[in-house]
Amino acid sequence: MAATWRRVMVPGGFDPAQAASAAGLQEWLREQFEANFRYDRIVSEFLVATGPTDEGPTLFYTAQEVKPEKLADSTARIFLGVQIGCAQCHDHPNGRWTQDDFWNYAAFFARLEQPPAENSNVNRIIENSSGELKVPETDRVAKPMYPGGVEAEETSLRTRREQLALWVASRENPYLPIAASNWTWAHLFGRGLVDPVDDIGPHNPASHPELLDELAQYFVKTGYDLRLLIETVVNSEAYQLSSRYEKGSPPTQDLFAVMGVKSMTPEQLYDSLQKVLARRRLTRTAATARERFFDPQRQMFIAKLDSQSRSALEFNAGLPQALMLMNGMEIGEATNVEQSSLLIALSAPFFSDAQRLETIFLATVARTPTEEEQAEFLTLLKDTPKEERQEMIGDILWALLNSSEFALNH
Amino acid sequence: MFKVDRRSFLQYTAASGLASTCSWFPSFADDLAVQPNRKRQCILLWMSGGASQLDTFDMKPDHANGGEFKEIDTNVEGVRMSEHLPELAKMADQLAIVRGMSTKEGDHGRGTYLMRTGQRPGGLVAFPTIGSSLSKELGAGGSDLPNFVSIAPYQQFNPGAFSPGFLGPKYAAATVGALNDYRPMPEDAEQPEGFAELGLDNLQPPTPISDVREQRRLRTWRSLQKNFLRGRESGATLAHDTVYQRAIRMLDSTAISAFDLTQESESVREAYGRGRFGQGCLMARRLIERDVPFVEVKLGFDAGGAGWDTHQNNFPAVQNLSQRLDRGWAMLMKELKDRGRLETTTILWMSEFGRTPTINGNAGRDHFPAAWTCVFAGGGIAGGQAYGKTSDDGMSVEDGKTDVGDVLATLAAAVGIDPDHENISPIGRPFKIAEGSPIQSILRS
Repeated sequence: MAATWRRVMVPGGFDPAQAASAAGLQEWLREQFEANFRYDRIVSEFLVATGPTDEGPTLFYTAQEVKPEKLADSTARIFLGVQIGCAQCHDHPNGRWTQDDFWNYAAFFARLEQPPAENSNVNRIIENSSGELKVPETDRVAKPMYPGGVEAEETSLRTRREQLALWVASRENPYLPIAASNWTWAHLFGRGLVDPVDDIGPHNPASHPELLDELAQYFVKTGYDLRLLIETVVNSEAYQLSSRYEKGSPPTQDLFAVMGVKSMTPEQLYDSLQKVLARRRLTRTAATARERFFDPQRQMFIAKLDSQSRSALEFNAGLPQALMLMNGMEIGEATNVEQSSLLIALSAPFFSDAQRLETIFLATVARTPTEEEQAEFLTLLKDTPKEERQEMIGDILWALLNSSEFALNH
Repeated sequence: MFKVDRRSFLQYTAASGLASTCSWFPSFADDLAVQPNRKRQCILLWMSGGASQLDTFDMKPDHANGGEFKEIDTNVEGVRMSEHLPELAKMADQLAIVRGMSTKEGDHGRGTYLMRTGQRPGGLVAFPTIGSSLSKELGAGGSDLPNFVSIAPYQQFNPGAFSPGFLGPKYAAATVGALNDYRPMPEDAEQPEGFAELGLDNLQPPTPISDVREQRRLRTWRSLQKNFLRGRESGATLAHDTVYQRAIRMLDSTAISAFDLTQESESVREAYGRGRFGQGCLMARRLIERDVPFVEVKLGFDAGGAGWDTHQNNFPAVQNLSQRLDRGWAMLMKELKDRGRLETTTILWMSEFGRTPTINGNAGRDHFPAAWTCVFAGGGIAGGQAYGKTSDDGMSVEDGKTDVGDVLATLAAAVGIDPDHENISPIGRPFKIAEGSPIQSILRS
């Protein structure tokens, strides 16, 4: 989940020089989610971050060159679930956001500055006590104003961002619980109740408005408890539906009538492959998330599959990636009878072919073979000369690792 | 009647205000696709490290900055170039030399990103490399070969500059890597034996397996797919299955032999030059012949060499690189022309930046983005000219100043793609393929 959020926050990826900062951001998010801090608190902390980029969320600000208009656009999308970015240049077509609204909101980020870094891989930001933002091509100074039109009071006690953080976490902010509920639904189902997930508003109604409302109210009542919200959704009937439709044509995605089939993220796919491999690198896999982040082989694998798509319901890879998954080094090692420790373990003489088959099914697709599959593959094995049977098991493992069932969450 | 008259076409769209919305454009591209003689293709010759303009296509023989090389005549009066590009000099009527390049990134990583995506690096959006954007528009969905092939790329300066960015992995280049350790070092007086061997990455498993096993794997895979797909034939599942089916079809097809250079005669392979660039140009020709829309070939940084990054001993290094460039590129154009493909294949020769006109204390030239050169050739290009002009000392652009957006827009226009065509980024903002204007005077209408 932390990796998904890091991707939402810094979608452009990062150059290798920023790896430490990206790891810092992701690790910070993971800690917040793991400790299950109140969501309103996580967002407030995020909004006032200044620390070094390798230790927290500051990368979010430096990746956007601490520009108020960029930060206004992205914080509104991520935390409030609204797209006000287009009001940067013109009033929003549905009339909810004027150009003035946009710049007044952006004024909360007007006093940020990124001092020259002492070390090129780590940056900091500071917030000054003065500095104003002018609406472009006018002389008007933008006054910090919360979405909805309430002006922030002038105070020297708090920085602009601290003022915003207080409002964002307060009950006066109706956007936060709705946006968080919608993100959570999207995270679990691959698609939000409002889609796109960050474009909530009367112009784009939810597929199930009462449900979204109810989730948001529940979220507020439980004290912004993200874990409870996720548990509740996961226990719902909708989440436990099969991804298989019974007859006719597939129902549209916004009905949530069947479970949407989601693509695994490249990170999930690599880590799943590693689990099947269960070889020397196991010690590495058990290491911290931060160490995994810097594993060069993992990085390369992820870079090749990295999708900028925001919908997990799409599968975005093309020919080169299919070739990599069929013939690449990772799959080669995982299915080689002399390298894969799963296959080495299974070569022990006391296993029957049926047990071997069952084990590789469980290790890859977390189920035992169907009767049909068992009959088919056991016949294949029986017809294979004894000395080639281990290879045959490797070949079935290869087919499993390349199957849609393995690659997708269903 | 459909007539491809790009200039009036673009003027019309600009005048009618349609240029930025583009819903009409797919039909235009489709029209091109159904007319085989109009189908456009593209080759990027990428000079990694930053090629010296003063020692290749924009020489200053009368100035102290000029350096050691002589300038020679070409088959176009008034257009002159380096003595180490003799074959290209015979084809100058096909070349449009853009001498007024002026950009703002002088670091390898940043310059590589800028020139290959048209955007400055470091923002929130991962921009697609130009090969991804153009092959997305030019490519056919069901082709047996990839739509974008990158031959022996040197990605270390900035991997992001070689990625499909927000367009997604579907539009990534299929990469071709080196299969043997071929090291033509500049110092080597003697040619090594044999040829640089190249092959499509992941064409085969790391440990080769028998045909019997391969068939067995695929049979097992099909059986698993059949069971899982029942009742799930939509969305991600279908897309996953389709991509695999396409890969399997490619591995089975005869088209795959495009990557097999051993099918060429020794004399042809020799004519292109034995190194990776020469053999890469030959592979590019084979791929273009089989309708691959976008191919890029890199020269520089082969197996330990310093490429075009000639901070020291600029002249012997550039002489060596020029000879390889001249041989491979000229042969590529000649063979494409013989096959009737040059008229529909646009070639762009480009680096991340140029090099300083002043020669440093180590007889080298340093990074210089303020005034440098790139070269267009082939389809859609009005050859036989030099566009733009630098000052006598080469330090500044005096005429025809050209930014990266203009170069990429020219490339797009030359292959019949509207440079204003927009793709939607993950932050919801649309971005044009190239944010600049095509150089009309080097486009052939």
